[in-house]
Amino acid sequence: MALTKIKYGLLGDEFTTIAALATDVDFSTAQVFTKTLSANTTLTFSNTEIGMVKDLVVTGDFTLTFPTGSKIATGEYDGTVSNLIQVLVVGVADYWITISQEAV
Amino acid sequence: MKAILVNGEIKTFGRVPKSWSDENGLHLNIGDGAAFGFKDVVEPNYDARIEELSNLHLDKDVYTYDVIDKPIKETLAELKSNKVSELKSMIGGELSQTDWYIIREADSGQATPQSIKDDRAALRTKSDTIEAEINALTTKKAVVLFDINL
Repeated sequence: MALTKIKYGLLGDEFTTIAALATDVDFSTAQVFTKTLSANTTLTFSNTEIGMVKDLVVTGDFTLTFPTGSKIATGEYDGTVSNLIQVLVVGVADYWITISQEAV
Repeated sequence: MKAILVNGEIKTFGRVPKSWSDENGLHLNIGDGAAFGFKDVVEPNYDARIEELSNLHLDKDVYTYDVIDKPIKETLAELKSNKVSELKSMIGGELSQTDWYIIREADSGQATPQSIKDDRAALRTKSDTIEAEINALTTKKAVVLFDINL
C-alpha cells in the first residue's frame, strides 16, 4: 500500500531529536540544539540544505558568532536568559536567523 | 557614542549594536564591541556659536573631531546691526515694565516717581554705552561672542 501520510514516528533523528551543541551545528543530526556559553563561541554549520530549519536554545552572556552569510530577521540575543534561535537555510551560505526569548 | 572603521569609512553609533557582521560572520552579544574595533567617540569642547566639529578621526585609542571655525555668512555690519537690534529689544522689554507710569502721567497728570524716571534714564544710557561697544568691535567672531548684560 502506498504511504500517503508521513507520521512523526517515521521521521529521522534530524527532525526529532535534541542534542548538546559543541560548536558545529550539523543539520543532519538533530532538530534542536542546546548550549550554555562559557566563553565567546563561534559556530559553524554543516550538512545544510535549502529549506532546513533548526532550533538552537542558547544561554550565556558571551559573544556568539554565526557563519558568514547569517542575517538576523528579527530579535536580539540576551545573554542573561535562554534564547530560542531559529536558523533557516535560504541558500548556500545564506541563513536567516530569528531570536526570541520566553515572554515574561 | 561609539565608532568603528569599516572599509575605510568611520561609522558612528549612538551605542554599540547588539549584533555585528563582518568578514568573520554574524556576532551576537558583542559587549562593548572593543574586540571588533568599536572605540569611544570623544567630543572636544567647542563654542557652537563660532565653532563646529569636523573630520572625525582616530586619535590614539579614541575617535575624536577637529574643532574648526564655523563660517559666518553675515557681514560685520549685518552682525552688528543684528546685535544692536537684540540690545534694543532687551532695553525695550525693560522699559515696558514701567511704561504704565508714563502713560498714567500723560493721562491723569499723576507724576511718575523720580526713581522710575532715573531708572529709565539709566537704561537708556546703558543702551547707548553697549551700542557703542558693539559698534567698536572689529571682528565677526567678537560680535557673535558679545554678551549683552543689562
